[in-house]
Amino acid sequence: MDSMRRLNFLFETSLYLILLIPFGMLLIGDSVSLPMGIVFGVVGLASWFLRGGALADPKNQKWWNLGIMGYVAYTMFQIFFSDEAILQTGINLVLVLVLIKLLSRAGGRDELQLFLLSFIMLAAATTVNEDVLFGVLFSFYVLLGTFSMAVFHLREELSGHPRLALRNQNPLNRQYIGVLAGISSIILVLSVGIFFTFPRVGLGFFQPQSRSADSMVGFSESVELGGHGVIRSNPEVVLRVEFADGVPREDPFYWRMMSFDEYDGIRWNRTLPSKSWPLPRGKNRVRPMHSVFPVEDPTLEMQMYLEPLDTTVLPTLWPTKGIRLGAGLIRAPGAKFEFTTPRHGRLAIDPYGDIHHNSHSQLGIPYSLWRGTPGDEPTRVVRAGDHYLQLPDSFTPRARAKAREVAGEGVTLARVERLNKWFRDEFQYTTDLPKVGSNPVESFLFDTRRGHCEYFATSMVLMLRANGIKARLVNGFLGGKWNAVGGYLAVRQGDAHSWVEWYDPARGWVPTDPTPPTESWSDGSIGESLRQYYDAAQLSWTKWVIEYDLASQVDFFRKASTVFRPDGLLKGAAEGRAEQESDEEAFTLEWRFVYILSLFVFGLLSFWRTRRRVNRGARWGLVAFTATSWMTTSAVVSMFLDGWNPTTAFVGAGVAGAGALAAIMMRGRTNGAMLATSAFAKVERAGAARGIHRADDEGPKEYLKRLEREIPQATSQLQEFSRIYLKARFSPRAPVASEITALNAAAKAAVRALRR
Amino acid sequence: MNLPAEKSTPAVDRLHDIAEHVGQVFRGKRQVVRLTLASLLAQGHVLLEDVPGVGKTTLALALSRALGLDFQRVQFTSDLLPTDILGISVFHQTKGDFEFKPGPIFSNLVLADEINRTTPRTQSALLEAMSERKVSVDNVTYDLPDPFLVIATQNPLEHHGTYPLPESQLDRFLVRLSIGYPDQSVERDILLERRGGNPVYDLEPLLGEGEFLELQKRAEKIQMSETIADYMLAIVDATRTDQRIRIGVSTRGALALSAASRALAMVEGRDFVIPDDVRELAVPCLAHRISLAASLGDNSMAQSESVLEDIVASIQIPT
Repeated sequence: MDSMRRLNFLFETSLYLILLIPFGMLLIGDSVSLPMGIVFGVVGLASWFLRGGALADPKNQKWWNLGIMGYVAYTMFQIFFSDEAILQTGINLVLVLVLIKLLSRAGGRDELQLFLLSFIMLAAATTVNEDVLFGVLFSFYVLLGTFSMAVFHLREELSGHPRLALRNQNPLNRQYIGVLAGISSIILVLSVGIFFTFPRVGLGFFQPQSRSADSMVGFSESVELGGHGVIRSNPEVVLRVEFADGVPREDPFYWRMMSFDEYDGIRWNRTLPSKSWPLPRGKNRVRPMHSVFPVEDPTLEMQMYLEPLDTTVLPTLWPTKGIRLGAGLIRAPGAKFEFTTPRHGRLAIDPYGDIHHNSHSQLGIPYSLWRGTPGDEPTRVVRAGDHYLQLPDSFTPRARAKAREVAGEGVTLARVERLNKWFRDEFQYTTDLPKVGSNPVESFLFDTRRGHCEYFATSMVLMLRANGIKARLVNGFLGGKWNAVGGYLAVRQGDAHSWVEWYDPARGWVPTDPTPPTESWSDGSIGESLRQYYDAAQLSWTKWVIEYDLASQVDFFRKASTVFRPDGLLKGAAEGRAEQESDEEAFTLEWRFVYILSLFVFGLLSFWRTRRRVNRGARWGLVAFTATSWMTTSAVVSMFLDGWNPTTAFVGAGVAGAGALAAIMMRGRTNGAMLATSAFAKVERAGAARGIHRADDEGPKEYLKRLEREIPQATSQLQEFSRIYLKARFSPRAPVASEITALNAAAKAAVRALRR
Repeated sequence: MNLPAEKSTPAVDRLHDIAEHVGQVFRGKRQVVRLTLASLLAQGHVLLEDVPGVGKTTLALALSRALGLDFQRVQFTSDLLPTDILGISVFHQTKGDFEFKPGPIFSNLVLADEINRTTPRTQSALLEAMSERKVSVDNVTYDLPDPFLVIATQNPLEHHGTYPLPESQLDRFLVRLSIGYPDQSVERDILLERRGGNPVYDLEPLLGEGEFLELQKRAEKIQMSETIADYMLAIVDATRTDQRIRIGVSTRGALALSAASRALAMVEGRDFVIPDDVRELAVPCLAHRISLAASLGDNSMAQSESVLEDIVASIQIPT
């Protein structure tokens, strides 16, 4: 019985793995406390060695049940009488149940419960973890889950019928594993397919999910000088930017976030009242910021994905012309329409002009941004108050004198540029901070002449103010790293930067950066490129799974239809834009809806028909038929989204027809036999109810004859049933529909006769 | 006894009648008749292992008459020579040449009585003829008639002066059957009814010229579903892995089981095999093809049949 032992081992391994995967997900999601994690690990490991021992003895089961009840009571207590999070206590409960079951399991029933618990763990993990890693682990889970369930079933069958074990020397030969792997993959592909084709309405339940917010230095109400340097080399990505026109050819972008007006000698503060005004909702696709720039010809449009940060400020560019929440720019090339993403949350502008969002989502914020050219003239400029001229007491007369000396005379712009040039020429950039005294600006200006961006920016603001120019400090990010794998710009925590904005009464706040340019940091290693791949996967995950909604779905189908259309690859994209006409669109949209609805109704009807016709047990036929309906629906939907076209219609109809034919053929072949078996089982049950049981090795005909002898009044019905059943079941020719009907009728008659 | 020969109906429909009629002559042993008939239709030779006097000869004779085959009986003795059954070339004085005198084997149905009483030399001459369906005498090969079928008998209880057939030669028989004593009621009827001659001689042929050959061909075409094949393989595989069995059933054995099952299905009037056919034939068809482990003592028919019965009983039959 070597093969049996191997099978057992395989099952045990897969069972432990199927429990380990969701546990890993929970670990990554940071929702397993340290003691719980240790206990789970140790006891889980111990249970591997203790399984099947005295612990699983039926005599001990009642103690285990007592333990379970005790822990459930404890959990109840925790939920109602302590401030422990419900999700957390729930997860703990599931973990404890898993451990108890692992230790006490005595058979198939307990193992089935373990599968169920594993699934509950997986469900819990979805609420605490939505990283791309979750997707990877989930795929493994689906593959392994199918496999271990199959092995479980095989093992159960073999232990129930030991003779079957002799059938094959090794029940797990290569062919079996291959078929199993194939089925698992098909299931995975199907679930991915269902994910992408099942209609989406919105994020709904996923909203309250939490992705741990990145804690960032520099975006709170007050920022101490010198805080930035420490995060300079942090490669964690906070913002990903896709450009509508592909790769941007530009100087590094200054992603501005938060402005500060008051410097007290050590830290920067925001003194203006912390309120904000909602931005008007634009009729156009862009929410215009009338107060800053009119919307006319934005030169650069981009789609941003901001990781969850512990601030509500959104990174923008100068000059921002429009901004809108949502992932509206996820569009395939050649897309005809744009769908507005129904995303909750509004944008607001604060007295500094910084843009805030009020979305409660902890999943990160997608939004679109339109930027103008620096030369654009604003229609209206918000006046800047005199507090932008504030200087701390620690700004000495020596420094004031130096500021005036360097700035010299002339128009404001010239003075700003002279100061800028002075900093860039005379000072050195370093992250290796020299020791500074109690007055950091003073020692930076006159002693060390070295420092990082915050020193440059702070000194610059103060020197501008000493010259009577209104100025403020801006924190944000500089540049970013182009991710060639995903085709987007990744802005990392380490790209954090401080610079200066000065007030031009004609143009408003204008940025300038006194910090000398430095080499963009990058470690250039294999790790770096691997990180690029991982990060690109992360963006795709965000785009297609986390942010995947109805709009993206429609877009996905459009993309698919563009690819599958014979001429789509060549000219589809080019012509798609040219031929659009809004009236036509509305018409097709309506038709599309009617068509999809009717297909849905048709699918339901045929499903119902199949059920009625072939009864229970005809699973394969059902699966095939459902798959066919699904394929037809998908094919036609994708085809329809790109306009009616005889070629696609033909191909779609062909695919559907072939699928239906295959389904019918399969139904005839396998179902006849299965139906006959289930009909016989009914008669056998009726016979057993009369006390005439069939031995495992008693042939069906023999048994039916015995029934005839024992219950003579059912003779004619039994003979009729025997004749039809044997033919339907064992004749290699598939039974036709009328034979199936006759079989069912004969079975019913025989059962009735037996019951009399 | 008046047995009408309804030769107007197709031969296959008369098979049931044949089994019936032979069964009337050969009282109380319907199953043996059916299995023997199926075996002959599957072009297989039959080994009847039983004590004398239970009707082995009657069965063979009855079948040969009902099937319209010519019949020869050879009583095997220890001094029987191969030439006694195959035939011999004798010098013909007037022709001045050797002339072949065919032996009793040149017949459609040969009853080889007490085959284990003769020497291995004679046994193997018969067995070779059985598998080759031709004989060679003095370097000349003569084809045996078609159909050519052998029903051999042996007495399992006699040991003195017998030469038990080796396993490899037992393989030549499609089925091994034992007849056993009839029920008491049947035996009583026999005693009361049997007066004078054997009723076998009243049997009239139910098959016409060449119809038996047609039926044999037809039996090969009986259909068998995959389920049935799987069931057969389950049985065969089980004999190969069981601890009690030293040598399990060979592929030839599996083929024999399927051929016999097809023929039995035809006898039953079906054109497809059902599990009951296989179940009924498994022991008669396979028991003489296995050899038991040494620990189980002798390789007697009863022993191997009970082991095989046990194995078959443990395999779930498809429904």
